[in-house]
Amino acid sequence: MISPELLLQNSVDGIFLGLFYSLVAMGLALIFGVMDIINFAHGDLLMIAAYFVWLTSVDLSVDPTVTALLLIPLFFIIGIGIFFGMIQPVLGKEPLIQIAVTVGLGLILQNIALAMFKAQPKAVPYSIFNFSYSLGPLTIYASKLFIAVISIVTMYALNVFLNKTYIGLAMRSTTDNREVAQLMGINTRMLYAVTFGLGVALIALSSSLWMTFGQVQPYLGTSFSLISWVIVAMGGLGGITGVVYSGLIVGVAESLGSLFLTPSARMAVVYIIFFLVLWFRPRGLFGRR
Amino acid sequence: MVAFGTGSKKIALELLVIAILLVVIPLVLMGNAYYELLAATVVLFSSMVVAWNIIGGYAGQLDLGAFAYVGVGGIITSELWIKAGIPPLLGIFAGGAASLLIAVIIGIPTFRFGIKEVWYALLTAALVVIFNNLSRVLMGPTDYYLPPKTGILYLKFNSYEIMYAIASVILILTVLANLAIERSKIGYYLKSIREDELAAEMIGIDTRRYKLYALMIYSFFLGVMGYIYIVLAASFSYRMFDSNSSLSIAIMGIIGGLGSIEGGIVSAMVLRSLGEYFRSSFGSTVPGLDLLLYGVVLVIVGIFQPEGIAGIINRINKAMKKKR
Amino acid sequence: MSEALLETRDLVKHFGGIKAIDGVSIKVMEGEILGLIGPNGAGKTTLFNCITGTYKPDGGKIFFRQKEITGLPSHEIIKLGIGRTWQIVRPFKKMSVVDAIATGSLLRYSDVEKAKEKAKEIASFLGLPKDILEKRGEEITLMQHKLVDLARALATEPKLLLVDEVGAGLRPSELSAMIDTLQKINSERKVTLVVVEHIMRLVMSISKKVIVMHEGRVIAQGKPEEVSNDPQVIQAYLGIKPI
Repeated sequence: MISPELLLQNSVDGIFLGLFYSLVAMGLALIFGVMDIINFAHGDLLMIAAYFVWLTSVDLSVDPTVTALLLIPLFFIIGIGIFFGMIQPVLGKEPLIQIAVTVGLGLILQNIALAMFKAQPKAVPYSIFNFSYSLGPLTIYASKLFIAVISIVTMYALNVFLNKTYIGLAMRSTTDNREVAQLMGINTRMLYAVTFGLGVALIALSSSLWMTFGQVQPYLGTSFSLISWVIVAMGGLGGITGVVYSGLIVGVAESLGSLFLTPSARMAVVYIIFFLVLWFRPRGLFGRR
Repeated sequence: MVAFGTGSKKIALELLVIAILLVVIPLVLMGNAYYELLAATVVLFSSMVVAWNIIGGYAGQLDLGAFAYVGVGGIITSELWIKAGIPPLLGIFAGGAASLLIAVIIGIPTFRFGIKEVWYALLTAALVVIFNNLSRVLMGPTDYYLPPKTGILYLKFNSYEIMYAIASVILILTVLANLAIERSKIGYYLKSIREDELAAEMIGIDTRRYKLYALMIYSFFLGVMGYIYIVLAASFSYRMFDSNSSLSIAIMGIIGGLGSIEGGIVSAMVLRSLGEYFRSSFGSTVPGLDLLLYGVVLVIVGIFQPEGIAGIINRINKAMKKKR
Repeated sequence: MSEALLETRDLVKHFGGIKAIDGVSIKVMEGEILGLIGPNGAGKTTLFNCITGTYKPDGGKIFFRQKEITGLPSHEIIKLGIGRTWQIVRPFKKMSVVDAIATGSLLRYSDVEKAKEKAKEIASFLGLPKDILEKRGEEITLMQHKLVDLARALATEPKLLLVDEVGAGLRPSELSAMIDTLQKINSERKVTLVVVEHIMRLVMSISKKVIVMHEGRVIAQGKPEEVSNDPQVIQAYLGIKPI
């Protein structure tokens, strides 16, 4: 049987994981909310960023956490570039084409990575967070704790940004009602570019955090994309809190699931949750739309 | 869609072109088993793209789960033969029906009013992965083989030339089905749903029902094709539920031009052949080059020529008409 | 008193905190042309959307031919005999005009050839020139769009047609033509019309009765002359001169 300590350990790990997943999904949720586009290449961008982190750690012996400082602004710019290059030209076209372009992007990223790095998973050789503490029956892994803390801090900062800055408010009002926002003088094109850049920057942050304990391979994006979609589907557009709650649910469910199920079965369970959410609550569990 | 004119002249012309294509190819490739198999596979893929056109082109839904239906249909048909002795000539209908059932289960919630199109794309992409994982659990990692019997009853022959002929028949049947849809009430309704769903509702169209019809026809065809795919592949396993192949079908459909039968066929034949070439020449040094090609072409088409190959043919037609 | 073709009773619809329609009760009698006017935001289009099933009302009931239709899905409501046209035209851009109209006819005639015949007949009834029939939706003028919108809706053979600001953007000559067309639809095809309109010239000249809405409620109803002299109405409009 499963001991209560094991259950507790998994639950705690699940919470940390869930917070991280919320951070990963946040970029997708932001872009979806403001621009109505589900970026199919979301997870693949994370994968590319993760390869960057790996390269700098291997070639330059830089710790992932430091790389993040460079990567975030870099990917913000890359995000804006992708927006103007690929997204903006298709904004007026039918939704199928819009989605298709991001699917194409994802395929391109996956296969460039496959060609350059082959399929073997790569991991960062050393991270400063390789330790853990004991707290009674619990083991707290420093890397997981660090990730959870950074996730919370980032989401709090994002919350402040969305509520207290002009750009943030512009994003929120555009999410609520695009036409009215335009009528109020918000330059939607610029706003979209910034939103996309911000979404991609968040992905870059997540990838650095991921690489403190995880591995990267060309298909890493698939599972992150899936998890992000599930979170966005569940969280609806309930703002940051919706995403956090959904993230926590997914994180804890996956963590507890690892006690009983193989990785393949776990993935299938996440997908099935996705289905059920869309069957029964198309407006998300916490959302307003 | 209007590349060759309208009406029955168009149908006759299209069928003629397709027939020529299908007869010329084997004459060119006769004798080389590798090319015969390749040709059969390319023609089968073209059929899948033409079937995809029903849900993607006519109904306007981005279905990314083609191989969920191909896999279910193919495996059910095969298992019915292996376990129950039912000859595939009959079994394919059960396979098609099984795929149809799965499609309906996906379709009913997703076509509810208020659910955005993108969720359909995500659900179908997810579906392939679910089936991949589930069948891996149920079937294990092993490859399964069909019984060695051959003959028309089993739709299975050792000669790839004959398999090519079977695939060609399937292609023609799929094309005929598309043409029938285009000129019927269902075709008009689907096109109007794709144009403007709200306006379509306001002229009495039950959009949910018609999208479901499109999905049912498409999934049934794919389910039938699934068995032929297995025959050509010589074995089956959980790996039949392949995301990249599913994406490829949708991509070829888009590049061909949504709603265009001939565009889809051209796009499938060109891209699949090119992809196969890349895979055989560069597969070991630069894996994934074929998918990279599809991704790049898709992005370019999406941005610059969303009407795809059909759009290009249209432009050429118009330019030629002006010159007259 | 003869029964109303369409009746709403205490209809309510909110969006978030805003009451777009707050207790609207109207009766539309068979055969008439009813004008529906009011300043922007009065709830006119919302009312149309509730009647056609695009929105589900939050309160109240709607009856069509004495049958309750509240909450029915749109396609069923259309089938029962209500049609509508659009404030901002909604063409089927890539379909030919005749195909677009035929798609409407398919509701009543499942055979495509028959539907196309009916479509051509309606097109000529509305005065659409034959040479635009094969043109695609994206290739025609605004006035032609509006006629195609009307044709498409008429093709479903409605008993009641909801016409939403069809006059917007038309030149004076086109407006006169539209007035005649609407009257023709009403008298020759026996279609009851409810016409939402800002252009007073159009709505006042063809309506037998006018209903005025303001902030989600009906504030006046009666003959056009009565309503245009009603002080409440004038006040609601603030600046639009009655004719």
